[in-house]
Amino acid sequence: MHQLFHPLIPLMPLMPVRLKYCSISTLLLIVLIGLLFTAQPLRAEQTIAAGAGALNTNARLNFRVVMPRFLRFRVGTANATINLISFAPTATQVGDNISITGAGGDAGGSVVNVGVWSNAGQIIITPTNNSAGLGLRGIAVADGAVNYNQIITTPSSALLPAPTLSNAGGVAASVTPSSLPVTLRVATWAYSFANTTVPAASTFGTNARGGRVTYTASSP
Amino acid sequence: MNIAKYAIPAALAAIVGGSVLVFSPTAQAEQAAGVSIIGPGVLTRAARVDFQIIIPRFLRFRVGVANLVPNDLIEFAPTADQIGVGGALAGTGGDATGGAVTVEVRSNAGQINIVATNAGAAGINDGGFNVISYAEITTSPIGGVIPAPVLANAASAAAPVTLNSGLVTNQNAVWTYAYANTTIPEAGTYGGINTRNGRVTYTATSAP
Repeated sequence: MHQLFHPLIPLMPLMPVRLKYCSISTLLLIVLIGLLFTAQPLRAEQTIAAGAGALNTNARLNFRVVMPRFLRFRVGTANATINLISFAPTATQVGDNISITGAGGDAGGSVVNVGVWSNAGQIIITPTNNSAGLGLRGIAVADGAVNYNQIITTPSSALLPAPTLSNAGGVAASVTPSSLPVTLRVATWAYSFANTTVPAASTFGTNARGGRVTYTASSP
Repeated sequence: MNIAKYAIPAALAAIVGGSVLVFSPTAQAEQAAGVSIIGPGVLTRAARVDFQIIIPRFLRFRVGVANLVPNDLIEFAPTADQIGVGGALAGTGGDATGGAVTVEVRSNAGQINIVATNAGAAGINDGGFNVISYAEITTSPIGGVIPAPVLANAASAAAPVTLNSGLVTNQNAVWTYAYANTTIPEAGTYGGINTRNGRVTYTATSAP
């Protein structure tokens, strides 16, 4: 009777002779050990519950967000465009010590949008220009140059201050972090022409004559 | 008629018939036995088969790859240009690719509700103190026959699965995950395969 109702009767033709006559408990132990070595880790996303009462079963999922260290910086139009801020005082305005606004900013008039996004620590903005310390040169050498200190920058937020421009480049400005090392600041910078001198009649600056300022945002 | 000639085969037939009954409890074939089945002329005997199907009360639930494979990993890796500028970002991974997973609910146990839980009260962490809220991971569709629970730190609200009829549920869906990208987290790797609180456990529960 022991063998008649043996649970592995269907497998017996395939089993070694010695196994056919071992006890049920021994066979179950062998089967259990085999399952332990062949089963994959129980990390299934499909599970089954059965029976009476409330049934519940789980399916698990893992999430990962990989966040790079980064610094994003914008002055003016948010693409590869380099805005040209132009001041054109009228004849009656030249040298009257009243600052004038210009045109060409992406935020209207001579105003540009500025943004700093980073998770890389304290951000410093440093200005440089391509005038070799001479300022914005006129078309002819005899026209002289307009000093960069005639271009005033007024930020809309003290949290994103604008560097003060000079012929040598300017004074760096520190951006107030949101919560170190994260910075998320947006503002506008409004440029104006101080108009305290009387230059020669000419067109000063542009990229060809020392009129390009490069702002560099740096993290530690 | 020599009754003794047929007695032994008939007895054997009875024994075999009895054995069939013993070893086939779910398909009981009837085999008539006895001397009346032999003789001249037309003989007629009926043999009947009874069938029985036993369906257990059950609940089967799948999110992602079917069973016996490692868990799915949904990964988001925004570029420096994308971080914090808004606009949800698609992920990678998932058996339906592109940050999407196959979802199935099969049950005959009544109304099924799905709840998503995770171990962190603050969200997914980077192994330190920095966290990204689970609210930054969105799941669509919110509605549908298997609505996706809205992920939240710790636990979501229950999402009820639409019954097909009566107590039976047999529904399929695809859940697509996205990274909402509304914040600027510190650089790092947040979550992962059962680490840094990156694991969400969906629990499907039937009515009592």
